[in-house]
Amino acid sequence: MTGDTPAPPGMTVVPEVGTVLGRFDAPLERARVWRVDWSVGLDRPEYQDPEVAREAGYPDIPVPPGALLFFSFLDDDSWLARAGVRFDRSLAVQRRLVLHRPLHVGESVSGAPTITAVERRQRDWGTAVFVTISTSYESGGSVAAEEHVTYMTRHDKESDGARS
Amino acid sequence: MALGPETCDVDLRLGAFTTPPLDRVRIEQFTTAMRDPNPVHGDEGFCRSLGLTTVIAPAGMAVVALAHAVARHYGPDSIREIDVALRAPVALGERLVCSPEVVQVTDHVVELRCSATNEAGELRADGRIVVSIPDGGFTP
Repeated sequence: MTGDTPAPPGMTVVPEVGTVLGRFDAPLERARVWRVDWSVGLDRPEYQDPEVAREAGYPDIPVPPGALLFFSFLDDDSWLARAGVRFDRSLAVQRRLVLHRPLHVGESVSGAPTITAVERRQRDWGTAVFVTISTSYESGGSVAAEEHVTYMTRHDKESDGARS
Repeated sequence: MALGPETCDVDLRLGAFTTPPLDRVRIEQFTTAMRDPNPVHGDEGFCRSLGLTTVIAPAGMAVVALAHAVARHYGPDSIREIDVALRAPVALGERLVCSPEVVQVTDHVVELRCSATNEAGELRADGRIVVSIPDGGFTP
């Protein structure tokens, strides 16, 4: 069962390298950044007040490193099925971000999250499938950041069979 | 206080950043910002069906907290790379203690090892963060 074919009930899709999970072109909004900053307790004034940020030499509030997450920019959740990610079977296990330049509120980013790696590891209970989704965030005509997120999905022996 | 490469000593432990308790309100704010539909962050019944006692915080909160633990020392524009392994779920109400330690300094690049634990010292995430420092140092 490939990443492009809907799975019948009970069967989990096994993803394929090269599958594009969606595309986005979205602004970096102040409300998003404020929510992230507040929720984690970030305590720098330039993360909260755009005037303070500008006085500190930034064009606007800096987007906290780590606040870029590919699915937050996609229009829907269809990427889950194509990546073989399930809320009841999957966990994010690794996140890697390479930041070529800082990003600030008011800028826009575009990208196309793509499956770049699929690895299967046998376990006593079944198979662990590791899927890496990579996104290049383009802004202002160049790549500002690259993100790689790896999910592990559990396929138990006695439950559905995962087929490629 | 001005810092520069000459004062970023290997094995230097920087001051830790501790989040507030990651309660339901904070989790909801983060999942709203990230448009995260995963019911494990808000649906008690779903969590119990998975064998969890209650909801858990998104792993992304640990990543943001770890990055901030470094950025508050070197500046928000200093971070060049974050590579974090998510080791265990962050339980509802936990405070993450994020501790960076310098492991390598090369020219104007500092590599740090970082860990996020709960207040009992149980590991939630760890990894490596790389920062670059401009000529002449900076004032955090």
